[in-house]
Amino acid sequence: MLDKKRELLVVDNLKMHFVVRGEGFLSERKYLRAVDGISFTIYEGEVLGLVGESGCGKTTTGKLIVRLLEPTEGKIFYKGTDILSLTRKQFRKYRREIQMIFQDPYSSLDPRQTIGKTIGEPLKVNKVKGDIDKKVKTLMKEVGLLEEFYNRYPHEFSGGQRQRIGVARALALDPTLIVCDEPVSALDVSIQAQIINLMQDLQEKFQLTYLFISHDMSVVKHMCDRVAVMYLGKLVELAEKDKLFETPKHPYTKVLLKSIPVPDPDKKKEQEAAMGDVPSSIDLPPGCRFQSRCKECKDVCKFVEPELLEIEPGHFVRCYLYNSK
Amino acid sequence: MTDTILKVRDLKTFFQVEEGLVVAVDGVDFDLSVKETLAIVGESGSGKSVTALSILRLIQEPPGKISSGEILYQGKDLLKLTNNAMRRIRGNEISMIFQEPMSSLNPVFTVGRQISEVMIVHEKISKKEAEARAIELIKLVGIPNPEKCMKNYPHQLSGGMRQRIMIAIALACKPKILIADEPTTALDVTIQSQILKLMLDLKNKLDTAIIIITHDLGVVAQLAENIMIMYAGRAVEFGDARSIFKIPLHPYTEGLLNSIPKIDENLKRLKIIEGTVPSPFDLPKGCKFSTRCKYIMKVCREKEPEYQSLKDNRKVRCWKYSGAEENVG
Ligand SMILES: Nc1ncnc2c1ncn2[C@@H]1O[C@H](COP(=O)(O)OP(=O)(O)OP(=O)(O)O)[C@@H](O)[C@H]1O
Ligand SMILES: Nc1ncnc2c1ncn2[C@@H]1O[C@H](COP(=O)(O)OP(=O)(O)OP(=O)(O)O)[C@@H](O)[C@H]1O
Ligand code: SF4
Ligand SMILES: [Mg+2]
Ligand SMILES: [Mg+2]
Repeated sequence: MLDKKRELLVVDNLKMHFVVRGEGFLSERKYLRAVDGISFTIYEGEVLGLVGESGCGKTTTGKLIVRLLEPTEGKIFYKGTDILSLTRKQFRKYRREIQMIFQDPYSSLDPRQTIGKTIGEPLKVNKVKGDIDKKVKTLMKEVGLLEEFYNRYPHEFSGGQRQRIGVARALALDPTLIVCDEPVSALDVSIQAQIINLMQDLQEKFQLTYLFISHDMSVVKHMCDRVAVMYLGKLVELAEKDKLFETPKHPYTKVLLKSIPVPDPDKKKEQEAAMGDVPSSIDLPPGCRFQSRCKECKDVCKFVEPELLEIEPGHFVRCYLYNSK
Repeated sequence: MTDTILKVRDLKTFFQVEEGLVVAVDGVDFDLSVKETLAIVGESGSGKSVTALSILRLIQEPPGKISSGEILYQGKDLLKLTNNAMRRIRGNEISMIFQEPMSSLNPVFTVGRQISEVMIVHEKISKKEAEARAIELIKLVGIPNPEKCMKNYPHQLSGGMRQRIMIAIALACKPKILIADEPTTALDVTIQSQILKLMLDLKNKLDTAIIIITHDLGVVAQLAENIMIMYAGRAVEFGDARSIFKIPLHPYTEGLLNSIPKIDENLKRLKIIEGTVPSPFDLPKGCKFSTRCKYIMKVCREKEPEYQSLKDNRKVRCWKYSGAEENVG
């Protein structure tokens, strides 16, 4: 594992509540609690996985970290600096260091811009000195794109190639931290492995730190050092990868791991699933957010939400089953 | 064999689009037996959905056209039926669950009405009888409180529940064949596993043959007896699931199985298939996989291999297995 862990990014009680309107005229304002008080640390040089169901707030968390969204509440410290208290101008020098790769390689590129321009744009915007063309071509080579593609447009490329363009663009400003939002899930299976290998190579070569968002547990297991599990806007478990996969604690994590279909016909699993429905992030029940699907649900779970506790060094769980430890 | 319920022979379907001709399915052959579960696997755009839609004759013409082939359902060629006769088969004897559950449910009708409707149309039973059976079906697909669910509109249900309703509708007339096009792709893993469990249960309870289309090899391994692998509109490999996972024959299948990270394995790097999927307007002349294949030989670039039968009911489209070549090994 990592020998000396240095904190790179600390997220403290981050919340993002979106205002939504109910159906019908004059209906009251409601809040959708997309991210509802999460705290975690990303250490220098690690890959931290962030997993959870669709809509649990993974992308929103990523966007908050790169400041594409301003949170309702909470703090983010980058190398010790409270970046949310900075003005846009003061933030600029940090912006270069924290980049994001987006979920959808089809819609995240400007269709009217050539590949060369797209990759070079962050360099121009940030007034980077030197030969931009040359830098762009080096980046293209780095991510496995041919120089000849420089003047071509996104529609001429396959999903995997577009994702490479997104990676090159994110690398342009020599970032330290990259938020990777499902970088392979929109790709064909035969292309996913190419991009995963590329991202691992780049991480090693440039000593990058990743927040790696995904819902594919096999990919997460392959890529990450530690894994954070989210459920409806909250972290429910966070641990080193091997701990999490071998001894998951939270009932949701357990179900999640059991649900993965194994690509081996000789290992047919008794498909055992948490029944019950996921509540809406607008009308959350009091108590634990997982109660409607939890087999272990006790009375207390229905009234007061459990805290995220460190039950072993580095292993955090939000569940009453481990409160007494 | 007498228990074959569907025989697809040399199916060819194309689309005439602005940029040119897309031969989406080019010479697909397969058999489906009673109670069998067949998985169709392949890259995006390889022709899986078009194969399924062709079986049901749901290809929109123009731009599409089924240009040749036979689809023999219980011996009769569906491609020769009148539109009326085909309508009686669709949703009744062969039914389909589509890739996007939301767009295939009607938002303005209740779930109960949508399930009953199918039975009223196809089986000419009374509304009351249909409703009673609809409640049974909702129970069968594992939704608690079916009476309440009958009165819900699609938007009031979660993704997993909607997919269950889709399955209920597809099963309403006890079809002989159920075609499920990516039935779980849009769902979270924990919900996916509920649906898989449901499909496994139904498979054991009902005498329905299932064609499941997916790109998730985990799903395939858990559900299917047989697998057909497609690449660029062609069937490139066929066999029983266990043999294919153990000894994949086609280089594409082999690459695919090697490239997925496995939860119970620790690899430093993944093995990859080089290159990208060729565009349908720019397919290589010989083997369609030749631009990415690590076993490529001279003949591969020149001539397309035949879809060849091997022992143990396996099939493969690759020069490596043709006796004429020296490199057979
Ligand atoms: N701009 C917005 N306005 C209102 N609600 C939003 C907005 N962005 C996201 N949401 C809601 O916030 C919740 C969390 O969304 P988010 O995109 O972060 O989920 P996610 O975990 O990334 O899901 P997925 O796996 O589907 O990408 C969802 O319920 C979503 O509908
Ligand atoms: N209505 C249509 N008009 C024009 N081209 C079409 C149409 N439907 C399908 N195609 C083309 O036919 C080819 C095969 O498409 P198909 O939908 O069968 O792929 P698929 O294997 O189901 O892929 P996916 O995994 O993405 O669902 C693709 O090149 C596609 O662009
Ligand atoms: S025919 Fe040749 S190129 Fe095609 S898959 Fe077989 S060995 Fe590879
Ligand atoms: Mg997301
Ligand atoms: Mg499809």
